[in-house]
Amino acid sequence: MAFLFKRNPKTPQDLVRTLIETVNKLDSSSDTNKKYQDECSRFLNQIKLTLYGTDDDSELLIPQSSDQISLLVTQIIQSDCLFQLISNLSKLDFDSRKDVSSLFSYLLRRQPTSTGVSTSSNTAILDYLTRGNPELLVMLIKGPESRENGLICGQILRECIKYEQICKFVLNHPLFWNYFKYVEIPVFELATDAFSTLHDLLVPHKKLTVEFLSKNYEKFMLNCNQLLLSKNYVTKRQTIKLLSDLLKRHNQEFINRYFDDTNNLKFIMLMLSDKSKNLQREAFHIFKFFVVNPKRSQKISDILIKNKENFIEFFNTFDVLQFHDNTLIDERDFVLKHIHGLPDIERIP
Amino acid sequence: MGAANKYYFEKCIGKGNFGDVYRAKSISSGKTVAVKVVCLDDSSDEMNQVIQEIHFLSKLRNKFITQYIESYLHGYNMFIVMEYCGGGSCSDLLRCHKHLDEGVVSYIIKGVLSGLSYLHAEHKVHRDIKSANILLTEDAQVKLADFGVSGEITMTRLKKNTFVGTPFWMAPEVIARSKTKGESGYNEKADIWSTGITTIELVTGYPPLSQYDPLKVLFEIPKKRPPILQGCSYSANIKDFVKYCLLKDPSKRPSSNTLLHHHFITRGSNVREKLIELINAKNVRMESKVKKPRHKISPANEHNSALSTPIVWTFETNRNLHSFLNIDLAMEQDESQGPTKHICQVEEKEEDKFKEETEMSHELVPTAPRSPVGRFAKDKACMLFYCLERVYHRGKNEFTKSAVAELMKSIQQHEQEQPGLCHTIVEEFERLLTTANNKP
Repeated sequence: MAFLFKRNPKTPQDLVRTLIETVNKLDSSSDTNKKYQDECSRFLNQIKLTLYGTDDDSELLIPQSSDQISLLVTQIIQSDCLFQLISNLSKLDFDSRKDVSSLFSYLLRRQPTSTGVSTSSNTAILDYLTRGNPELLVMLIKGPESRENGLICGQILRECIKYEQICKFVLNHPLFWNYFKYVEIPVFELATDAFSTLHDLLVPHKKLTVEFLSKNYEKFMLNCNQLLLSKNYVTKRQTIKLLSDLLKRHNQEFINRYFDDTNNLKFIMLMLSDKSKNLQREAFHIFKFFVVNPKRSQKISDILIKNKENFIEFFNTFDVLQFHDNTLIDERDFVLKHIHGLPDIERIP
Repeated sequence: MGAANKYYFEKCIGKGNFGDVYRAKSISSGKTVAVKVVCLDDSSDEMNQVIQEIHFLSKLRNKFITQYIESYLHGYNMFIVMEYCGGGSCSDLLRCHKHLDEGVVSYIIKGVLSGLSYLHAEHKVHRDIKSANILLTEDAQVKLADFGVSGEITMTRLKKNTFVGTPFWMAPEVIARSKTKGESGYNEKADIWSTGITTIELVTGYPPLSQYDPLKVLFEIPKKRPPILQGCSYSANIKDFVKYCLLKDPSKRPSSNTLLHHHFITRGSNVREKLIELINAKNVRMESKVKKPRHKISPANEHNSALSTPIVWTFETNRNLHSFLNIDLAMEQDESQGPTKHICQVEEKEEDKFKEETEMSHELVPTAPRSPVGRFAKDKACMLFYCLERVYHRGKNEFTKSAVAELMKSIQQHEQEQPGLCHTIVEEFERLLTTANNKP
């Protein structure tokens, strides 16, 4: 009965090589596809088993020697395995795609061990992704264009951009700007997933953000403000939240430019008068800085003065009590006081 | 928004605190689905949880959990389309049959443990196992529903003390940790506790402590000793099973995989036919009942907002002056354009200044009106109208503007009757100003 037990490749080299071979045989239009899918799934499982030392179905721990793991990791990175897996992602079965994602996160999170050589740390994979085969990252960046793989690619990409050097690569890539289109894709999951990627690219790495916004302020604000006009309620809320996240102290230069730009004030005012109470609240949290800014410029003041009565009318209807937030009420009162203090007659131009 | 017209809503089949569930038919395929409607504008934090949950749902595929199909947004409402389970929930079954016999309970709990086993391998804690969230298909397959979306939201509400659900199924460590406002550090073992409580619920008809006020129970569960299933009508196996599920120390509680090997589960007989009968009996009795949705699905444009009429913001700055200059030019076509140019220059200079220094004083202003004096020297009446025009444009609302317009109209009338009137008025102003200026 030995033939019932499929032979598994013995060494890590064999395993990786056979996986690559099988992945390349995948062809969704062929009858043999299911067979190769199953084989890929089996090999991926075996890799997972070696790396994580556990099986999904049981809590059984199979200890693997760290040499064995190092060898496998090196083999995966040195061969074109990851690239092949991502290129053929849509041909793999549902669970295998998730295995690919956990393979990436294992490789990326792997820390150098005391005994390990340099290849066992994650610097090898970072080098591979940014220099060895940057096409792979490009495929991941374009992930949202595929309905089938968008979410898996998004998950892998977000795992990658936790590392500053990869995040920098993506931010500087011309395809980065596609994310402002991806977030408007009509498929809800894809659009929102693309937005989490956009957020993770722009928010966590503060130094990169400062640099990026300084270089790309105009283009970024143009794209961002455009999203505030989206017909999609979720996109609007995510965008205004993103702006709030970026208007933080470490981004002083961005803050100065943002609050001195009458165009931004206009978009925030449009959000204030949106029907959604949450958009109103989020907009208020940005609007307040336009008003109380001690360095407020005349052109900003001009718009505020012109709309003095509108603001008073807005604050009459802005129902802060429903948010159960006392700070918000205090801030509302403070801003309203400033608004009341604005001159009644327009400045003579 | 095209997706909004893809389904035909038939009736409300369940209501929750965060959204109601409807039975709907796909217009293209005719397939019956369950659609959960969640309003995203009701709360400030829940939107991201719902989004995360949808991402998670779309990555799950297992026959013991209700399959996610798609979701779409319409206005503020999120529509989450899931597989429809025609057998309804186990709590519907209890409502109809009061309690279930052990064989049926063993079969149902086996399905629950199988579903949990999958979820836990995906590193997901269900958090809300109870009979209402265990669904049955018409051919008596068991499927877990409502993982996450409700579970996570329940947890945040509990932390923020805005919780309105019932805590009877909650593990003691879940309540304890949420009360300390710390991280939700509990793990998948919380689901095992809830499975134990659900076992008691299915076999007796009620979860323990259900006779008490839910708020009181919230304090009792962490303090009290775990409930035990008592009574000679229950077998030793089920009592033992419940005892293991309800170990107070989560680390001692067995995993779903281990519990699948418990005698209570493995020694169950095939009761599927029997369960199908129970489901049919229930469906016949419940079919006529229509649940009234707790939330109204409000279309985006009818959202209750205090802003009845949208505010129309005024954005243009300095544009008034330009339009004014145009009028001015039209009026004085034969005049030289020198002074007008002069005004424009002043304006440009001012704008440059704004760019340079942010703190702009209002002092620069008087230069502007002085310039047209030369142009109007011959006819001082024009000066008066020039000033009135400016007052008109400075008026910020229609009332002021129309008042000024009225004033201009009537001055014009008087001027026609008494030519030279306006000229004299301006002369008087001039005289006053010169004497005022010469005094110091």
